[in-house]
Amino acid sequence: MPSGFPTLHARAEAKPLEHRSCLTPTTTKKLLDAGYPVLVERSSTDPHFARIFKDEEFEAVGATLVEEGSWETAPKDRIIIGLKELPEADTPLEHTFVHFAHCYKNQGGWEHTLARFPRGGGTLYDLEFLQDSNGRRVAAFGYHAGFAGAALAVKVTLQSNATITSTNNNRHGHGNLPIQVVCHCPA
Amino acid sequence: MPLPGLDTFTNGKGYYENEDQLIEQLRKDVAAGEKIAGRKPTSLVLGALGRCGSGAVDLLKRIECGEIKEWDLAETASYQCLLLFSWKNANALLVGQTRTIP
Repeated sequence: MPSGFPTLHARAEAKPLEHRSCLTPTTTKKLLDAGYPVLVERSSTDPHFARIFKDEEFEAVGATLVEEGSWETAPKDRIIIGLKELPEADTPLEHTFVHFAHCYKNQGGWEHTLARFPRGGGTLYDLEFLQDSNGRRVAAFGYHAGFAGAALAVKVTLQSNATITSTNNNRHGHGNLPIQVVCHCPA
Repeated sequence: MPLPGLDTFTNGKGYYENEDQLIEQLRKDVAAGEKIAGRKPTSLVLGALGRCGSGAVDLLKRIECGEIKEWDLAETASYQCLLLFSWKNANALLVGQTRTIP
């Protein structure tokens, strides 16, 4: 059913341990209500790539489920949305994409990634540059980044210390386990 | 020795079912560490009043860490004091840095 709005095609994330989703069922419904056709790729059955929202939750609000990875052969007028970068490859990219490509802070391989877009005539709208009307970044580290980061800090710190007994000295000469957690959370 | 991966802590799943599961496990970790060390972990959150920092402080409170130092601009204005703390007193682990890893 042609609606005059471009079709949004949500990729299944292809990054290990990335369980987050570029769309929630709630936002999917809002987009559908606004007139955008929304296709959502089925989540991987591999638990390392499983999306936190179930396929059925998207289906229930009216999205059409499509196969994982089907964006690659999708019609060129679809906007391919995702959260994190595409798997590394050299194939030209022909669609319009919305995701974090992680290319703009001199990350390794950025030039290879960005070169794929002009080679295929594709366009990247990087979420890093999504701003509100005040010029403030929309997608930024928030409450849960700190929450999860602190959890990781505690986990790693305790694991690192797990093999040390209380009689050992740490590098500062203290007798006790050096259980210390430092969380650096710049605004 | 490399640290165990997330699978180890999540029955091979690679993710926690929910927040409570994570919190419960970390509480046990902290308690186990306390038995060995004779004290609870202490922590320092830099930028504690910000979005990220408030999340970090909440997590540390929920898992019943010991002292949680909540520092923000007032405490970190002097960069020198920051370095002193990081290198002399802490087995420092920095998270939530602005450096972006893909």
